Amino acid sequence: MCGGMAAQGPGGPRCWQNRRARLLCMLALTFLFFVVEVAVSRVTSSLAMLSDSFHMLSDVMALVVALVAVRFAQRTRATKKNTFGWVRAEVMGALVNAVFLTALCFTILLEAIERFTEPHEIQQPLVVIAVGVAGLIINLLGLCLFNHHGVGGHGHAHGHGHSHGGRQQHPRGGPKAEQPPGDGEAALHREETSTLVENCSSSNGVGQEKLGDTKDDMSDVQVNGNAGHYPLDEEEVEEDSSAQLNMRGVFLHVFGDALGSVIVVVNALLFYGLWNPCPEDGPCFNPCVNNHCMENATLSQALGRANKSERGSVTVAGPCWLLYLDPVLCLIMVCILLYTTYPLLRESALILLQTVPKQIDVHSLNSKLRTLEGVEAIHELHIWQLAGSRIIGTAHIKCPDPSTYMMVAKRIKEIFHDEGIHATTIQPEFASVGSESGRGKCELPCRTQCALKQCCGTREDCTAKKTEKSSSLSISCSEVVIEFPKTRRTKSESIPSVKLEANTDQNEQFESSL
Amino acid sequence: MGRYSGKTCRLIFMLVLTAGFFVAELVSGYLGNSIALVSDSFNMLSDLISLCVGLSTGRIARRSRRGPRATYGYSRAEAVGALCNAVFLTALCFTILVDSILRLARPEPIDDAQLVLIVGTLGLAVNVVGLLVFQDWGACCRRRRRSPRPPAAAALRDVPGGTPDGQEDEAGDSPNDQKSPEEGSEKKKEKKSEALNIRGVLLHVMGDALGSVVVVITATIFYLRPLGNAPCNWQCYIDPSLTIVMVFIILSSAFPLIKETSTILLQMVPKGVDMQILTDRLSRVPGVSSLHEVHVWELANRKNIATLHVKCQTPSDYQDAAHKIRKIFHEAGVHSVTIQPEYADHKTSHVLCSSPCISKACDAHLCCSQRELPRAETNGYMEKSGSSPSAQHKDNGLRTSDIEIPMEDPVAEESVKNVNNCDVSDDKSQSGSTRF
Repeated sequence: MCGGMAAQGPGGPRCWQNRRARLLCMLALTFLFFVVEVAVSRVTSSLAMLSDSFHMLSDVMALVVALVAVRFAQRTRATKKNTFGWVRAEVMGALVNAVFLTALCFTILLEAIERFTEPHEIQQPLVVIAVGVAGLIINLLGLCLFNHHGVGGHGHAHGHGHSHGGRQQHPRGGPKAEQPPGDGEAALHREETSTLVENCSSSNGVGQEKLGDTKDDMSDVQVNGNAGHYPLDEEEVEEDSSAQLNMRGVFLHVFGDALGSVIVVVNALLFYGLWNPCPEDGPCFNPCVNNHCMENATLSQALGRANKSERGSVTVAGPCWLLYLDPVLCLIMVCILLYTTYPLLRESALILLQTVPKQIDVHSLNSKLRTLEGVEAIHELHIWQLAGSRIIGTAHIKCPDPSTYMMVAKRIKEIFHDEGIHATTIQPEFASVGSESGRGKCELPCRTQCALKQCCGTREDCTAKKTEKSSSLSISCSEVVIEFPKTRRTKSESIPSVKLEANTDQNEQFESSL
Repeated sequence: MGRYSGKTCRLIFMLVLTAGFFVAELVSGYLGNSIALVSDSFNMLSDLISLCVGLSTGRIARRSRRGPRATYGYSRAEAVGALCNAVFLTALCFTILVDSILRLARPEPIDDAQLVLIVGTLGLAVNVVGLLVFQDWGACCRRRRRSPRPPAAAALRDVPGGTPDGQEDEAGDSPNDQKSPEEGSEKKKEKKSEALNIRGVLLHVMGDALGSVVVVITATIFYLRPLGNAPCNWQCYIDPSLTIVMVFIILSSAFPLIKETSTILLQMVPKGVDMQILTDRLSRVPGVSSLHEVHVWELANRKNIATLHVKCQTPSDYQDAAHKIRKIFHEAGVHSVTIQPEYADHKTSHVLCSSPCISKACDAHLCCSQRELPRAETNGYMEKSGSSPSAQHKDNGLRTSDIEIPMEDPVAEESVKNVNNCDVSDDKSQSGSTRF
C-alpha cells in the first residue's frame, strides 16, 4: 500500500504517516484488548487470563518503542546533539524490541518449566476460549498490518546495495536504464548541470537484490530514484531497511503474541473437549498433580479404602497428558520465536557495531582504489552503515601532489558511488620527500600522546611484520609525525610548514589499545 | 596470563560462582519442593545470562581486530552488550512487576519460611560478593599492571586491539612519555564512567541482590511470626510491595545506562564536545572559507571521531588550515579527524558541498541530505564573506566533476545573508590574512 502511493509521484510524508498510523492503530487495539482481558479476568477471577493479558501489555510496550523510534527517525536533520540526525533510532528500536522479545521468551520458558513441575488445570475453559479467540483475531489483524516487513527478512534487508554492473532483477529498474535521463529529470525541480546523472543511472540504477518477502515498493522507488524517478520527499525514502528493521521487530512481537493466543485457544479447546474434571462433590483423585510423596501415599491408601467400599464413585480427573500440553506447546513457541528473532537481533547489532555492510567488499574496494593512477596509498579506510541505505565512508588517500589529487578525486568518488557509498570524506595526503611509498604513514595524525584515543592506532603487525597481511587492508597507520613536505608542493613554497615532532624513525611504532 | 585483564577474571569468577549457586538452588528447590527457591534460582539464571553477555561482548571488543568486515573493529560490542543487558533487565523487571501486582491481587503466604530464609541469605551473600567484586575497580589487578615495564617491551608485547581497560591501565605503560596533565585527568574520567558492559552486569547483580534482600526480609517475618493456616494478613502484602519498590529502584538505575549507550550507538555528539564552540573556532581558522558536513561521534570508550568538509581557496590554504583544524579538534578531545578539502571559486556556492556523491540522485543515501540546508550554526556551516576568489587554483578538473547546486534555494541565500551579517565583524579583523 505504501509503495503504491509513492509510485504515483511525490506523495508527501504519506508513507511515514502510514507506518505511524499502522502502529498507532495496533497500539490502540492492543491496549483496548488488554483492558478488556483484565476486566474479564476480574469477573471470572481467572488468574491465567490475567497473566495472559499482561502479554498483551508487553506487546503495547513493543509498539511504543517502535513508535518512539519512528518519531525520532523522522528527524533526519543534523542537530547540535546529533550531527547525523536521528536516522539510527529505528535500528536501535529494532534491537531493543528484539532483546525485549528474547527476554519475554526467557520468562515464558521459565513459566513453562514451572508448569511442568506443577501442572495447572484450566478453570472455565469456555471463557478462556472466547477471550483467546478474540485475542487471536486482533493479533492476526496486526500480522496483516505489519506483513510487509515480515519474517522473511532473513538476510534480505540489505538489499539496497548497488551492485556494480547491475543485476537486473527488478523489472522496474531494467527499462529505466535505457530511458533517456530527460524523463526522470523532468520530475526534478532543480536543474542538473552535469551529465553524470546518466552515468549514475546506467551504472547503478538497477542494482537491487530481490528482497524476498519484503515487497515494499518504497525500496524500489529508492533505487529507481537513481535512474531518474526521483523522490523529492525525504520521508518517502525513509521506508528503507532501517524502517523495515523496526517494523520487523514489531511484527515479531505480534507474531509471538499470535502464537501465544493459538496455544491458549488450542489448549482450552482440547481441555474443554477431553478433560474430565473433578466434580465439586464426591471424592476425587487427581493423579496428575502430585505434590508430595506423602500425599500420594495417603491418597492411594484412601483410594484403596474407598475402592473397597464404593466402587465407581471416585472420579479420576481426566487424561494427564492434557496438563502437559500447555508447557510443551509453550516450549515449541519459544523455540520458534527465538529462531525468528535471532536474525533481527544480529542485523541490528551489526549495524550498531559499525560493521561494513554485507554487500560491500572492502578488499575489492581497496584494490580498485589503489589501482588508480596517482594514488600511492590508502589508509584509514572505514566504511559503515548509518542506517538503511546511508553508507558512509572515509579514507585517506596518498597522492604525490595536489594536482594529481584533483584528477583522481572524481574517480575516487565514482568508485565509492558504485559500491553504494555516497557519503564519503576523502582526505588527501601528499607524500613527503624520502618517505616510502605504498602502505604507510598517516601524514596528519594527532599528537603522539593521543595514540590511545585514536579510532585506529598502530597495530602490532606494523612493528616487525610489515609485510604480513599484505592482502588485507592497509589500515595500519603509524602515528609517526613527520614534517610537512617543503619541496614537493607547487604553490606553497613560501609558507613555512609547521614543524611537528619530527620523529622519522620508521620502526618506532606506538601501541594503542583499540 | 599477563594479558589477562582484571575485568575478565572478575567476570569469570562471578560466572562460576553464579552458575554453581544456580544449580544448588535449583536442586534444593526441587528436593525441598519449594517454588520460591526454583523461581529464585531462575533469577540467578538471568544473572548468568547477563554475565555471559557481558563477558562475551568484552572479549569481542578486545580481541577482534579490524578487518574487512569491520573497519573499526568491534570495540562497540561493549556498548551493544550493555544495552542488551539493560533492556533484558527492564523486561525482567516488567515481568516481576506483573507478578507482584498479581500477588497483590491474590496474596499468598510463604510456606517453608526457614528454607527460604536460609537459601535467601545464601543468595544474598553471593550477590553481595558479586557487587564487591565489581565495585572494587580492579584495585588489585590494576596495581599489578602498573608495575613499570620498559616501553618498547610493552609496545611489542601488547596484543593490539587491546583491552579498553588496558587503555586505562596503560597510563603508566604507554610508550608515549609525554603524559601531559590533561591525560591524567582524562584517565580519571575514564575510570569513573566504567566500561559499559560491566555496568550492565552490575545492574543485574544489584537487582538480584535487592531481590534477595526482599526475600530475606519476608522470610524473616514469616519465620518469626508464622501464619500457619490463618488467612493472609498484612504479612502477605509485604513481599509484593517491597518488590514493586525494588523494581523502581532498579529501573531508575537502568535508564541512565540506556541513555549512555544510546549516546554512543545513535552517533550522538559525545558529552564533552560542544558543537557550537567547535564550529566557531573551526570557522575562524585562516584559509577556511566555509565548513560543512561536520560530524563528531564517539566510537566507544571515549574515542571520538570527526569528519568534515572544508572549503578553501588553494591547496596551500588547505594544508595550513588542516593542521590548525586538527589542533582545535585535539583540544576538544577528538583525535581521529578526516578532513576533505574542497576548492571554491566565486561561482560555487560557499554553503553547499562541492562534491557530494557524483550525482544528485544519490542524495537520499547521503548521511545528510544536501537539499535540506543546515541551519547556519548547527552543521558547521560558517562562512567568511571576505574571502576573495583566488585565481591561482588549478581545480579545473574538480570543477567539472562537481555537481553545482545552483543558488536558487531561498533558504541558502537567506542563510548566506544571515551569516554574512554575523560575520562582518570577524571579517574585518581578518581581512587580507589568508595565511597565518
